[in-house]
Amino acid sequence: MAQKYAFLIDGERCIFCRACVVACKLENHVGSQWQRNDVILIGPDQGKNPAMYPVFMNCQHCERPACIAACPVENKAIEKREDGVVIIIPDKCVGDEMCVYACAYGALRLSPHKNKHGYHVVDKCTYCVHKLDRDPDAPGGNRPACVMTCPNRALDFGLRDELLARVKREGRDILDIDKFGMGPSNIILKPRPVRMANALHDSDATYSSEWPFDIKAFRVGASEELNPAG
Amino acid sequence: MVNGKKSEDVAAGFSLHYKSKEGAVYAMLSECFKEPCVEFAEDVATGRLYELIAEGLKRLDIPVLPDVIKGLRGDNLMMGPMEGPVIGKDEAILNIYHRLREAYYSLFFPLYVVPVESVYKAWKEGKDEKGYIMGDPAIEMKKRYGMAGIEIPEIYKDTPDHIFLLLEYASLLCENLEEESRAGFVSGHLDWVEDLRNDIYKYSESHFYRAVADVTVSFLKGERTNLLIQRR
Amino acid sequence: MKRDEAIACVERSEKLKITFSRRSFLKTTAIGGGALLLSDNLADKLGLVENAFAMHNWKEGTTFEQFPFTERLVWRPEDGLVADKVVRSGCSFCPSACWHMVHVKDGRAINVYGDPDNPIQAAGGVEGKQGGVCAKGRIGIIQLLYNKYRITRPMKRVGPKPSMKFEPVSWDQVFTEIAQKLVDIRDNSPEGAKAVAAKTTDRVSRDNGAPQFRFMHMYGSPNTTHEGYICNDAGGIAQGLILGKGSQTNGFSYDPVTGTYDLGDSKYVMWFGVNDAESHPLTHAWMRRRKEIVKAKWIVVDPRMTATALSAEVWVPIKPGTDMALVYGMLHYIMNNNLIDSDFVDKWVAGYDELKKFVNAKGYSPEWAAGITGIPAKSIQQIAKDYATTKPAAIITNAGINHHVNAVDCERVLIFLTAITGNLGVPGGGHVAMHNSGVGVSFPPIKGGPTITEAGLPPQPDFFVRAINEGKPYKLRMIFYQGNMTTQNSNTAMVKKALMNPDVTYVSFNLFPQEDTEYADYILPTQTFYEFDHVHRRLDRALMFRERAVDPIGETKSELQVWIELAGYMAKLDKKNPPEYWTGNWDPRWWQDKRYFWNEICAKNGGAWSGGMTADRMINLAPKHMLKAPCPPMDHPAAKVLRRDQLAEDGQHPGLSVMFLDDPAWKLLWANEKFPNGRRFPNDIDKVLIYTKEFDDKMKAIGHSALPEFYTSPESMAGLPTIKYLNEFVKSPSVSNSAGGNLVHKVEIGVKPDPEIRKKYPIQLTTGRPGVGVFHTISHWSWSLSQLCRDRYVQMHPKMAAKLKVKSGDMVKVETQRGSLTGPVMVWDGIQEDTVFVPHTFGNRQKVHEDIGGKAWDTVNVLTEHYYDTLSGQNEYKCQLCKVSKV
Repeated sequence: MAQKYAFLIDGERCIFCRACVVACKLENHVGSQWQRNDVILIGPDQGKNPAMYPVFMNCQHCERPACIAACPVENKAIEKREDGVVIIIPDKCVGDEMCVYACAYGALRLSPHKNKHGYHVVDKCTYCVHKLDRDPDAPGGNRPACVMTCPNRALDFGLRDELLARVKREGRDILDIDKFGMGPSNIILKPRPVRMANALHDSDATYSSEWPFDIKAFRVGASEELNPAG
Repeated sequence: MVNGKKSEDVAAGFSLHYKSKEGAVYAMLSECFKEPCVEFAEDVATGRLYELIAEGLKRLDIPVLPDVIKGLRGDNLMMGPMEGPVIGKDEAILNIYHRLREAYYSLFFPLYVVPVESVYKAWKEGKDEKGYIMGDPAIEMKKRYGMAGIEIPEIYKDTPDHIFLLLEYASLLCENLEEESRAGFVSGHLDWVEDLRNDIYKYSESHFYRAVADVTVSFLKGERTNLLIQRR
Repeated sequence: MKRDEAIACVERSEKLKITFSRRSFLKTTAIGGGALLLSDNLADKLGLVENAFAMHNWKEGTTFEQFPFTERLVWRPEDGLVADKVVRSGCSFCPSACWHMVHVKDGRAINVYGDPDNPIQAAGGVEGKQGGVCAKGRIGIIQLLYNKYRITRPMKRVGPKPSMKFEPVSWDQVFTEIAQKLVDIRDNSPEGAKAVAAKTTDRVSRDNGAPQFRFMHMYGSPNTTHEGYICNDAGGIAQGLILGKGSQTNGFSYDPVTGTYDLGDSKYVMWFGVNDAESHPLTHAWMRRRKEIVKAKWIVVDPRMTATALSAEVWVPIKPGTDMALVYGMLHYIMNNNLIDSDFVDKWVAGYDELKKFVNAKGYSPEWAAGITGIPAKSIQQIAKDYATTKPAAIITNAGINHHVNAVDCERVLIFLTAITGNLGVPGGGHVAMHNSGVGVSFPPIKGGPTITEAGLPPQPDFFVRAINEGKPYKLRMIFYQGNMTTQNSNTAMVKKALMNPDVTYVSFNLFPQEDTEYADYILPTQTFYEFDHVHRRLDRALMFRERAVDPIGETKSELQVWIELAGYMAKLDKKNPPEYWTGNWDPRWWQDKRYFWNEICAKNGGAWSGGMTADRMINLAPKHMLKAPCPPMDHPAAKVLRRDQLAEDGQHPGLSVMFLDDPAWKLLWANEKFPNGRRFPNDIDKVLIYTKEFDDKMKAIGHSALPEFYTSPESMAGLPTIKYLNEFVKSPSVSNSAGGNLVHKVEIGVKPDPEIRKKYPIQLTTGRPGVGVFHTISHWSWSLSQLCRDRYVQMHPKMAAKLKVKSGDMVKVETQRGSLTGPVMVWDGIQEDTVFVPHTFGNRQKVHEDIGGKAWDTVNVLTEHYYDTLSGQNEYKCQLCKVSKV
């Protein structure tokens, strides 16, 4: 299936303002106790790497989605569209949360909304597909709400091939977060080596950054676990 | 017989002012949700409120537990020993007036209970009740008032969907239109009152206002049955 | 008579009186009366209405889920709701001062987007199609505007304190009672008018503070103060003392006068105690973008690693309260290694030699500083060298410097550093004291009335509390407060004690039933930013005129309106002055027509500083260009020297981004008899006043000195030299909120602190901003923002957590001599091992936190004590002692 769309996430530009989280909640009427996306802070760890990295996480709309594989409903309550977007079919969902546990990126949550059969349904980022047909010049544009809101253009959204080509042109490296072979669609850029020093140490001993990669960190909602206050 | 007055008298009282029984009950319930004034305290003190509502509900065949409706009587409010050897009617009424005011304002400030439809219609998820005024219900009511040539006091311009305005509007509908015509309004704009009742119970111990809430809920249930509206 | 008999008596006396009291609120214009009379006309209309809506929405059997309006706070075009007008309003949460395009339909705000044409917000969205806003702007304001907890009518207390027993009353009643009380206190109390104190908030328009001052001066009280003493005024006060004028010295966005991006062209930025990313997200984002372009180096000095350090080259994890030592260490290195800008020093600095002698004699070397700050001497030397040799270099300060007892002294030392390295008065340099850009509002002079001769209390609201509790220097009887005393003032227990004093009347301007509402006598409901025309200022003295987006909710009034209307009641009730005194010095048109107000009043009285900042200019030039004070009118000599290419698009003065420029455009603003050609530094000597004998004497009179000794909080872990408050009040040389000036304690500096506290409370407590979603207590009333920062956490280093045997999420108790609180742990590597951080602005009446499944937390100020900087009134919020234990 052709993966048409993807996010391009440049953590170097992120200022940790969380406008993306709030914009999604407004656009998609997400309730107050959960969120479809998240900005997690990785680090610092003064022993290994004094820097901090913000990482925007949402549903990766994987090539081989674990959520679909895990769904026990006949004919599945989640589908992967022609354009690669993974979408929940609310009326088929029975709220068993198998997909929630299966997703390595923590992208799904059980929501308080009920479908017409009375089951609570799961909810996740939809790449704001409902906006795709809108006029790009209208307020809010035709791209995902988080992308449109980010005050420092840390997020972009578009055709995956085009984004990859741009990344290559600009000579940036891509972070590999595909530890489970799901084929996540989003392109998360590796931040370039930062000479971040902690003045407590000898001022010559600055650290260059290597991405402190721990797959467990890359989950929507990780910010709640790492920093319970959010 | 109702408290010394024959039921015919009460009925006479009704028809003096109201074409329909429902209209009368709506109007009286609306009054209950307004800031108490001395005249209202008198109606409560004398038991008129209780009698009229009880009679109205009876004639509409809307069942309400007697214990519930008794809460509308003034004796709940007259708590504590009375001052002085002799108490005149005026003092008794004033006493109830003050108690009503205290109960009313304690219930609705610090604004944990806001009896406005918009507040109950936004974002309801179990415990998570986020409430905003000026929701769609408010805009719609504004449009209704505009089309019908109705003005509301300036002070309520941001809460045109306050419960007392909605109940008064319902009374207006009863008095002017056929039964079926008000089904849309009742089912659309008065279906949140159970949640309001729950909040009133949660944030107040006033027997009177709890009774008002209960009676309103029962009455609206009866209305829905009569108008053949299913709920949830 | 027994109760039952009484009722029966009442009932019996009413035989057949069926008439029922009923007030009709619905008035039909068709009939024009108050009764619901039958009328064919009305019936027809109602019939049409119900039919129309029934077809649209409801059929028989309609259920709740089919209701079109659930969760609808912000609308999508496919919902069919498109704005019928878009208003350029803006945000006043933080001084990034973003523009908001508020989409309004049917008089209701339905959506908010940033303005892509504002250079600060221009990187929002994709290809600049949607201006950036942070989380607060995107939803925070609408969630406050239509919040169900909003107080919309004036309220008067009917039950005892503390309680929430209020009843709504009319404005007429409130104004009458308050005016009567004011007259009473002035004429009949032992203290007189000075027993009334008032404080403004920064949450609202620029025209909010000045009217209070005018009213209070007219009334005769010197106790009018503002939020600056809780905020960051120490920076501006320090500048005022030694440079002659205080404000954020350098600005953002393109500056036509210097042809530079000012701070955006800085090559070396030292962030001293500023969590800029979470305090001012959008201007921070702009600085980040510029940093990439000019390849600037950023140094973040902060006991904690915050989001501001995300792209910093160096994090300096200084011990709380020791910044002055760091700066002295840098000064020592720079002065002793020939790294000063000799030209600048020779020409523009008074007292350099004395400073050098002083620093050397005291031994304030990097090695000494290392012992105090915990930062190795070599790091200090490297930073000093880099700062002195990279040009231009900026020092940016905020609460990390100002929320200490040594605020002004520390700021002054930072100004010394800026000056001797030649970084003052150049684009990209400066002593950028944030939150000091109050342009203020200029009124015409007051005609008639009293001259205030008595001095006011120390100018910070904590002193309202102390004055009431201690009765010294005198007692207060009435407080007008904008803000929340029971969460923002230190030592909450003392605040509550003061507010329980039966002689005190507390008038609270508020939006929500907050913690101090429990102690209020009157609540005056105020407005959010979208409900009135207002002018807001950005950090860099840029002013913006925002238009009202929606009608005010309920009976709320803006603060300007309140003071003007209250003056009207004083006219009626004040027998000591003719009515014309009160009515002649105010004009209701000021709040009714803000454009007129700014064009005709503020600009006309603005003089050299803001005479060119009319509403019309502000509106026409924005958002691409924003006028910055100083902005004189074009007929001012300082404006006439500008070239064509330096002017704004409308051919008039663009405002100056860089203060203290060596240029007639700045200098002529300060021309006077003594300096007819102008002054670069608007003081008596036209130099940076580091030391003169005269100045030193003036400072010694209150216990300070021109060259400040190092000292810090009485509650530092290392028991460092501190401050002692003597039993004597003196007039402040640095703050004067009225003709009577302000009193402060005389102090002794350099005393040893009480060692016993450290034994019992061995952990350093510091406080600060919870996160980006928070600004003041007000933001805690927004659901989405509360979710971003739900809990009042206790942040600590992994080593401390290990010692306490706790992990993130476990509850701990933090205790000081004043009180205790509990909160969930947040393990964070970027903090000192012996320090905990507990964020402020939480409060135990924040219902929204409960609504989202959390709880309402006690404010951190149950822990803090009131130690203040006598030069500025700022509180020692950030360096106190505590102990921490597992719950």
